[in-house]
Amino acid sequence: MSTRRNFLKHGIFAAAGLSLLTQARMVEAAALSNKVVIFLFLYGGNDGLNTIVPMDQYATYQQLRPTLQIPQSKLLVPPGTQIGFNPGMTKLYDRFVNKRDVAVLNGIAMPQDSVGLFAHDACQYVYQTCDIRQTTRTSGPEGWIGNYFDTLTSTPNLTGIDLGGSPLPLQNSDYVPTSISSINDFYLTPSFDTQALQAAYSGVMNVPAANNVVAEYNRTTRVQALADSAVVRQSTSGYMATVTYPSTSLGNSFKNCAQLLYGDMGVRAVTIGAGGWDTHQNQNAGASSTALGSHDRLLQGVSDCIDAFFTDLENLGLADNVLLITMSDFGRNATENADRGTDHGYSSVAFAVGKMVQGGIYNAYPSLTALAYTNKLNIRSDFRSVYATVAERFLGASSSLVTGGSFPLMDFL
Amino acid sequence: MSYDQQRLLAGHLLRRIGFGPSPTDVSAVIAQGWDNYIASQIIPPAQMDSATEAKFIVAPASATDIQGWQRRWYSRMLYSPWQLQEKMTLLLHEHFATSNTKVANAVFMHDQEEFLRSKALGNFRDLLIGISLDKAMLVYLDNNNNNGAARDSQGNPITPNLNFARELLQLFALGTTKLDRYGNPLFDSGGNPVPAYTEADIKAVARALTGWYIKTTTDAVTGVVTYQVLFNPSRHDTGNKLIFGVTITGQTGDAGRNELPQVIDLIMSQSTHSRFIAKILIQKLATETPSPRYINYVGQVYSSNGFDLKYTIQAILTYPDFAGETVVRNQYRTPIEQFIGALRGLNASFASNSTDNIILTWTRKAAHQIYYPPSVFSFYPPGEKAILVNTALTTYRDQAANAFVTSARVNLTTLVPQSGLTPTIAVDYLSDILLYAPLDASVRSQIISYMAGSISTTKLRGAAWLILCSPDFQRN
Repeated sequence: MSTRRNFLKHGIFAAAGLSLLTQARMVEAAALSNKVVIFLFLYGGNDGLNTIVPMDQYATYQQLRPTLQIPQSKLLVPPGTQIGFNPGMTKLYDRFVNKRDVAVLNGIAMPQDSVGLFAHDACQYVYQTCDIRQTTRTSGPEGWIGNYFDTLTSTPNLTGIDLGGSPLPLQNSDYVPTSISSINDFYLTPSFDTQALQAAYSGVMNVPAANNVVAEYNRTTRVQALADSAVVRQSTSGYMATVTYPSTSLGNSFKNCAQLLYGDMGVRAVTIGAGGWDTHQNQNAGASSTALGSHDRLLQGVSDCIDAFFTDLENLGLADNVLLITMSDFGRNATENADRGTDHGYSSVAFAVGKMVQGGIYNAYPSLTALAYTNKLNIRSDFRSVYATVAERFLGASSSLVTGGSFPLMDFL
Repeated sequence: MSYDQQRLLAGHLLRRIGFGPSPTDVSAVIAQGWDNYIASQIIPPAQMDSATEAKFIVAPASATDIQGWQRRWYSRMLYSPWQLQEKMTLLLHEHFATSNTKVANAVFMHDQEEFLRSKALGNFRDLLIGISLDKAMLVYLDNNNNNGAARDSQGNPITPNLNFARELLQLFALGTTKLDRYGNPLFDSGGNPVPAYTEADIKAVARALTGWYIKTTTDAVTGVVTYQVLFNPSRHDTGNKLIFGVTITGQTGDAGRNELPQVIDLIMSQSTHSRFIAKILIQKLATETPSPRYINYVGQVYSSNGFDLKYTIQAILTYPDFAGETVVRNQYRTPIEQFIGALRGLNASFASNSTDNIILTWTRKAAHQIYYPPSVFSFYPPGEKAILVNTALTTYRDQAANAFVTSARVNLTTLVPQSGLTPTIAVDYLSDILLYAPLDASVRSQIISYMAGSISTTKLRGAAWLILCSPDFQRN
């Protein structure tokens, strides 16, 4: 597996006997593009209808959502628009209105001939790979960002990092992304007999495990962890956050992400994941005419983290080339169920954030009267149009290579 | 290097039906014989004998102490001689993934564990019916108090919560796509996979399963809280349900409770069910990529034995593929298999009243801790076990091995016979009881030279750590 990776690691660098830091710098110079994509996945299926509310369809919305409707007084409606941001998303709303670096992408879905519509794992797989028929699922999945990496002349180790999002969007047949749970935990320093054991560990991991995939994959992953953890610790140790991140695991992921970008190690994409979006029951528990409910607070968490992250990058002078895209399994049904929750729906809303983003609203909001599949919001844009736009207008890459097809570009970039 | 094949295969069996060999297990399997050992493992006693029970960490003083229940469960994996029962209990927990993050009730979680253990080698129909009425599951997938009689302001029915119904079909019993008898997806004439169920089937199943709820009673005198799962006819949808083209006649009053077994029987009568379960069990116990013949055979054993798991598992373990070279030492270890396997191999000793957190800490970091699966797909979806190997997880695994070999629960100078000990003998001894297979010759010589002629506690620990990190140990 991963012949190119091994060639890079053991061929060029090992032969030249270069230090890890020098390797990282070389990698930097070799990279064609310094653009960075942050891919935030909301696991479980975010209720787009209560994330961005269509104010011009508010009466219908109220009928569809007898208990879950957000009062007009709480919604954050940008002047001159017909959308209301969820009341938890004050920070993203503020960016939308003032910094103009937020794009609201309405009606994003996978096409109706996708395999596994409305099933979590199938939809996550499709959104992360663009393989709508899931034909590669067992044979060797490649992520949509992995497809982009395939167009680069080289993809050294830290090109793509999974920060608790999933390695899947980043991988291709030649490239295995680095996964980091937390930078603080990413080290291999034995607690006793340290020097002798470190030397012996490296020696053990340098012995190829002939004829067994399980052993060899474990070995190459450890070789990668050894090299990458050393580079990450050296390069990022000077990082000091300039803002206070939310003290949640998502906040920690975003803080780690800023720290990685500070390290200037040639990182070109990072995946981050947020859980808790499968809101079948009592979806907005705790909501009142003034207080936020549980789904509102999930959105608040995401909005606060995104704002802290970009503010930190702006303060550090690192924000110019960083684009964040969100996706989720699916939207949720337009109608609420008998349990004050919502079941698996179809299209949802996505966001793009970054200095290069043309802030605004893209796509007319899906009709709340002409529903798909009886009670689901219909599609306005194939999700691959979002990736195609990112490829062509941000990464400078072929959108057909990234998405595997041809899709209309959107104007948020 | 040649290695005793009986020993190698006994190690393989013990890693798959349980959590890997303790020092004396392999000779016990060889003495009993493979088939006899399996035949005994598939019929665990209903009640543990007192000597076995005494090895487990005792139940926590408070039933709401989730960590106490975790310690006790992990100690069963470490010390139960009925390893297959414990392995199946864990695999069923992964299959019927339920997380205390949402359930937030240690009593419910522990009761579910006990239920899964009681049916671990029982009948899958009992499991499906029981899990549908399990308190933790009712909370986790929202079927508690699901109202089938709700009406909107115009008097039209409101769809009940579909969460449990969907996962019952998709994750627990059928999968998303119809399968042929070899476990392959079926395609229609247009080349599209044939769905195993429709959105309408999900809704009808959900309607049939409305009305169940958990009743909580607090004793006015003692304050003791008890729970019962009851059926409330007034919240049951009494209309007819069309599921897979078959009508289940809606029942009124208490008879509405009978729709649950009818629905389960209907689901299990789908030809895809036995293939789906056979494939998952083979993937968990034997190989991620089963041969079509293997699935066909096991699926037939399962359905022809009335969905009895013990004969199905016996079939998996005695089928020729199970001992074949594409299966033996060719599976990725889950973190729990890795951690418990290392501790069993090192003969770790936890007192029955231990409050040691070492296993809790590392299973939590590796996100593979009992009672807390990260999603409805548990830790990894069936067939995608390679997800268990990435730079974050290999780092945690090797850090955990460091913690184990330096733990007060492990005593290497007792474990390794000290008489006439040399580095070579020590490395060979340790690799044998940890691998039950040869250690790569080059790795072996590197570990021997690491010891630098010394057999101190430090060097024994270092050697054990290197073996636990070595590519050979990662092969389950």
